[in-house]
Amino acid sequence: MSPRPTDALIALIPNLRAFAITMCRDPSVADDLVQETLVKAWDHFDSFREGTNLKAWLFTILRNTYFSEWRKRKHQGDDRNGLDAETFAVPPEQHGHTDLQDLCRALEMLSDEQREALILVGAAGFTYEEAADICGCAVGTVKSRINRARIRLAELLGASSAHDFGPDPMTGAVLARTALPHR
Amino acid sequence: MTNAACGAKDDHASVSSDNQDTQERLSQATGGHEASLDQSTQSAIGRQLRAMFDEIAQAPVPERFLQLLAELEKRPKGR
Repeated sequence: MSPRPTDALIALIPNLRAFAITMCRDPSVADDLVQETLVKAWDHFDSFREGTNLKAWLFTILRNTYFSEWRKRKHQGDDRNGLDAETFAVPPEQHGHTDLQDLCRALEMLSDEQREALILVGAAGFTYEEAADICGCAVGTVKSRINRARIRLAELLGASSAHDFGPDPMTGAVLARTALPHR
Repeated sequence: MTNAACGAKDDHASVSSDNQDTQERLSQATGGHEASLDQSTQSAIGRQLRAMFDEIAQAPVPERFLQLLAELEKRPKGR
């Protein structure tokens, strides 16, 4: 007896949410994206071949939805390049959170394609080949994106001196603007 | 709301077992041709990526998704 499809979907929701949040930045928007992914997955479940990688299949639906529809939607109301960011420029207060906060901000400075590739392979546990299938591109493209992403991240994180993100007002404002919102 | 990514505990020890694998795979991306990043930076990036992702993924599944799937199950589609 194979488990119910809904059980298999539920088990993968945490991973889908983590991926969606890293792509969308806004957790509530990310959850809407996950919801749409689940509905699409359910409606097309007969096109999923049993025994193949359900996680990769769901990630593919999510990223295709994001790139074809949601990215545009996000950018329409996006003021990430606005200059009203100063009010958000609060350096991390709690030591120990600094590294991850720096990372969140740095990730936002990457292109969607670079961030996607880096997260799929570096965090979500996919192989290069699986990531290439998910992204619909060549393996070499995935590797190239990851390489560029990593170098860019290192530059960004190095600029924040890794362990002590100082209150540089300009950099801090720009970076803080791109962090996940506090809700 | 989930703010796990940036409010995450910086618990490096809990992700150290994954770190090496991630680090290896990320370092393969350079193909060994380009000037590589220093090891501590590579290591930190790999570790933090995994920690961030895992931190979000450890959050409980929100009720809205359980309700959604319960409703979807009643639909004729799917299987």
